[in-house]
Amino acid sequence: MAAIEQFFADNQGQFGSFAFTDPWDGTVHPDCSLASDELDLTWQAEMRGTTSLTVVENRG
Amino acid sequence: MLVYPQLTTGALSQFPIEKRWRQRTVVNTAADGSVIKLADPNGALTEWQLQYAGLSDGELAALQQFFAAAEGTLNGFTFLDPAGNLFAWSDHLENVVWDLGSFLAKTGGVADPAGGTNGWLLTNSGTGAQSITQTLAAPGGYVFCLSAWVQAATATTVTMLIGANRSPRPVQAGWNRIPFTESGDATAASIELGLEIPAGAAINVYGLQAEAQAAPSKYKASTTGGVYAGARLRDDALTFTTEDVNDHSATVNILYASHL
Repeated sequence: MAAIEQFFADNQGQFGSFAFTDPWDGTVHPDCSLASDELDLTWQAEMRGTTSLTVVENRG
Repeated sequence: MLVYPQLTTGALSQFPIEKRWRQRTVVNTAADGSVIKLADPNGALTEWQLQYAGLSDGELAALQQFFAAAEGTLNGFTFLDPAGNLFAWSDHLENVVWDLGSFLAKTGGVADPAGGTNGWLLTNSGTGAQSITQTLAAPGGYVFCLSAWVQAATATTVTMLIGANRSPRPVQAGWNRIPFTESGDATAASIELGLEIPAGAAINVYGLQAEAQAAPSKYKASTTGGVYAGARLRDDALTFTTEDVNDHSATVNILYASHL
């Protein structure tokens, strides 16, 4: 959770770009961004939380 | 300084904790489909939702007194992130936020117990103890937990510092996490936390963490730190439910925007 939170902050939401490896086929997409400027994190207990991110590939 | 109250347990909140980050990005999509983005960091907003259950009469009274003092959304206050590391730049002991003794040399890139290389070798070449500390703009009377992973080739001791409170801890050949919980000066508007290295000692350090609670949670690397001065309540109403004698529940929403 902390790493995802830090990653979101480092990217300033959807502003930053990064390389993303598609977990389905291992393809590396060199220019991707987060789709949203919002990140919701919920900690249900110590060491247990949920969050969701959408990654989009930048084209053009 | 108006500060958000801790519970009688020393914790700032209970689970579940919800936190929402909002950034603001200006996006210009051109006619050819290409996109130009501009970050607007001043538009960033952070929100927390703290859900309380089983509050005692005293804990509820503290929340009510705080709400009255803040006058709902009107007045800002200092809020310590219950889900974060209060230290800034916890993996970057070269950062200026850290106050190092003159004779304390630091070397980064040391293999750490988490499998990375974010540990630091601290070597005291002086004839007296030297410290590495960070001062938090947080209420000194809070309960703080300082924790760190330490290791040394030659067994020695390190002294943990929370304000004027000191606690010596042994440092062995293997990595070991050392916690220290204490309160500082209740009248102080800031508090200094850190480690003191004895003369001639060389200690590997990783994962320095400060939290406003009684026990350490898993280490969280930080950059901005978890002290938010100028946070505000989101709502002008504080709603609570009394479940039983001395048993109350409530939900508090807090937001922080650096531009407010």
